[in-house]
Amino acid sequence: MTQKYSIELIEEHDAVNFYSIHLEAEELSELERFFEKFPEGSEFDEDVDTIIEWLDRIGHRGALERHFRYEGKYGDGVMAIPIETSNLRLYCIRLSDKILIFGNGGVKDCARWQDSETLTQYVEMLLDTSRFISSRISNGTIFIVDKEIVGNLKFSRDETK
Amino acid sequence: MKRSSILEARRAKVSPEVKSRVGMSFMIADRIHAILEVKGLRQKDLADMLGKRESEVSKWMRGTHNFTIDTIASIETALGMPILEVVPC
Repeated sequence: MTQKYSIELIEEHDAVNFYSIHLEAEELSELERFFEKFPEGSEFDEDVDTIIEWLDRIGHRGALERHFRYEGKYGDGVMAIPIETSNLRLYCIRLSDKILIFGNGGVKDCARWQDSETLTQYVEMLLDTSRFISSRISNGTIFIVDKEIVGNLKFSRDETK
Repeated sequence: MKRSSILEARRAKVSPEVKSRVGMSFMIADRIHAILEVKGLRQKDLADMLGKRESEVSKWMRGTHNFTIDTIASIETALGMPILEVVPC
């Protein structure tokens, strides 16, 4: 089955723009769907607070590599927001110090994301998206201008791949 | 500047304690990073000085680590420079 989605701008901050994957079949972006899964009053309140505060500070100071937790391979830019107090994970692509593209996330209930069906789906989507973006930057159909991604931001991928 | 109404609603509920903790964690990470730069050291060097793995030092630099006094004292001792100053009574 082919999954269609776009990358859209969700929030602008002083130093960083936050983009997110938005699946064609969904009303909300993946970043917003993540926060909707853990509403105020959930057992992850403190972790969600930490993620929001961390995002705000990153948005103000820049998305420096040293502040992220690597999840993919070197060079693909797939990272997790660094939460130490629980296994709550939110994944993103760090395209530059000024551009983050968020996917979805959830609670990691096994040692590696590769062992979780749900988290694998989220991380692999970002890994594919990172590859698609690199390819489009190479062929000139996407380019980066400061905090903006300009060009064709519509994608499709084979979920069974 | 563009903002998401969903994030804005959740942002308004963030506890002051978490804001303060994350702010302090970033400041401590920045201070350690600055000292390493001044001394021409890498995170790996600090890890070696403390007998820790580099991944442990990487965790300290992310802005969400909850530092203990023991950890800060050991970093100050290893680097020979202060990380924190407490306002005297």
